[in-house]
Amino acid sequence: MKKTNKAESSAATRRAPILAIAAAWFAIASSAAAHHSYAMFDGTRTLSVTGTVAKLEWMNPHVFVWVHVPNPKAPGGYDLYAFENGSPHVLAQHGWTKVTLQSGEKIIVEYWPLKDGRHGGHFLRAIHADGRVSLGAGGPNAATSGSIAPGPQQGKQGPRQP
Amino acid sequence: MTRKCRHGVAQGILCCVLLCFSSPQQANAQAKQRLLGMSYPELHELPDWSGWWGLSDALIVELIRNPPPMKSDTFAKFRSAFSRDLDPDPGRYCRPSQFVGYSGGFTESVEFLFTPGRVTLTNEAGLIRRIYTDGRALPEHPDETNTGTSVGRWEGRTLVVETVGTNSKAKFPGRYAGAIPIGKNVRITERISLKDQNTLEFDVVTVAPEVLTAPDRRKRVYVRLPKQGATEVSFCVDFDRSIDPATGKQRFDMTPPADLAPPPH
Repeated sequence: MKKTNKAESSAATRRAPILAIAAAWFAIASSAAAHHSYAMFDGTRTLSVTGTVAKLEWMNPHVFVWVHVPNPKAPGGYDLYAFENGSPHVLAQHGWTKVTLQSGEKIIVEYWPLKDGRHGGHFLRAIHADGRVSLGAGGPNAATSGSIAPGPQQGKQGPRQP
Repeated sequence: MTRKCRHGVAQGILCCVLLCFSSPQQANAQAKQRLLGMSYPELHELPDWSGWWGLSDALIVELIRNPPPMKSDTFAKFRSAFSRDLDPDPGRYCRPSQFVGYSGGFTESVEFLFTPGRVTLTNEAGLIRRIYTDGRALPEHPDETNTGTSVGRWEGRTLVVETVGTNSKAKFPGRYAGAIPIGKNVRITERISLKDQNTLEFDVVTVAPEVLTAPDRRKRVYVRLPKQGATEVSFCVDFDRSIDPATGKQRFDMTPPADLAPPPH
């Protein structure tokens, strides 16, 4: 299993803070819980994993991202991770579509981990193999971490997926 | 008496004379002539609020920044219950939209529909507020409904909306764990106006004597969104990975979708 603390992230991950600053420029609001309180996530730290997209579950009230993460000790050689993301409405306003993450695509996911230790958490951002960054929406401390704080774009553009 | 004052007195006398010599029907007709947007051609005289409007903050964030004047320590108790997921209400997301002073705008965009004598405010989560601008008065004894009964009047380019008869069991300040019923005799006054072409300001005053010690006053600034159509926003879904429908408590359901792609070889 490839799972690192944020400080140990890859070169691609190190590019993310620059993009995060740009993201914060248009993320005009503070972090926000519209549906629930995010109490289940550890907002004090972020982790990252490298894996292969198993599914982008595009549904209300929250989009979920499923990722196979290699782990030689796991049955089948993989752990299945689940990441909660913002709502389709908020993500769509910020450029996401249901094919922003494609099954079979290799990505790095940064996330706030679940407090109970299971494999998953709240999606912060994904870094595609070509270096593009797809920012998540919502989550604990979203405004200070580079996740999109859901809200109107006000015509400004940040780093987006095509 | 100054010249200005004498002019005012003369105007008042003229009005009295006109009213005295007008039949009730004529007076009513004169009053209706002053109403704006009473026919389709007249709708063009109203400000352009077309399109979709959004807020940059969730309601909970706004409330934490600017708490309503709730009785005793009820807001602190609400915050605590919300953050600790205490006292969840399993049905809160599957009830019809209820208006207690907030029309949405964060996770669900808001739109306005102008028809003669009426402004309809909707949002993508299903709220529909019918605001009658045809000069009718608010009912003295309104039925309780989920959106209340609203009448509006145009004061220049500002729409002033008065709402009574909201559902006394509707949760205040919103559909969150720990929220409390707003109670009876609620009156909500909104003044809505464009600040510029793409900025719409709501000044909202909420009187709710059972939960508030004083009127709650707040300003919300909506931004016109660059979107062409509605996106469905629903919290009442057959399967919510984040909320247990039996208990209303938060969860993180990791039951894999049936159509997951297989792991790579």
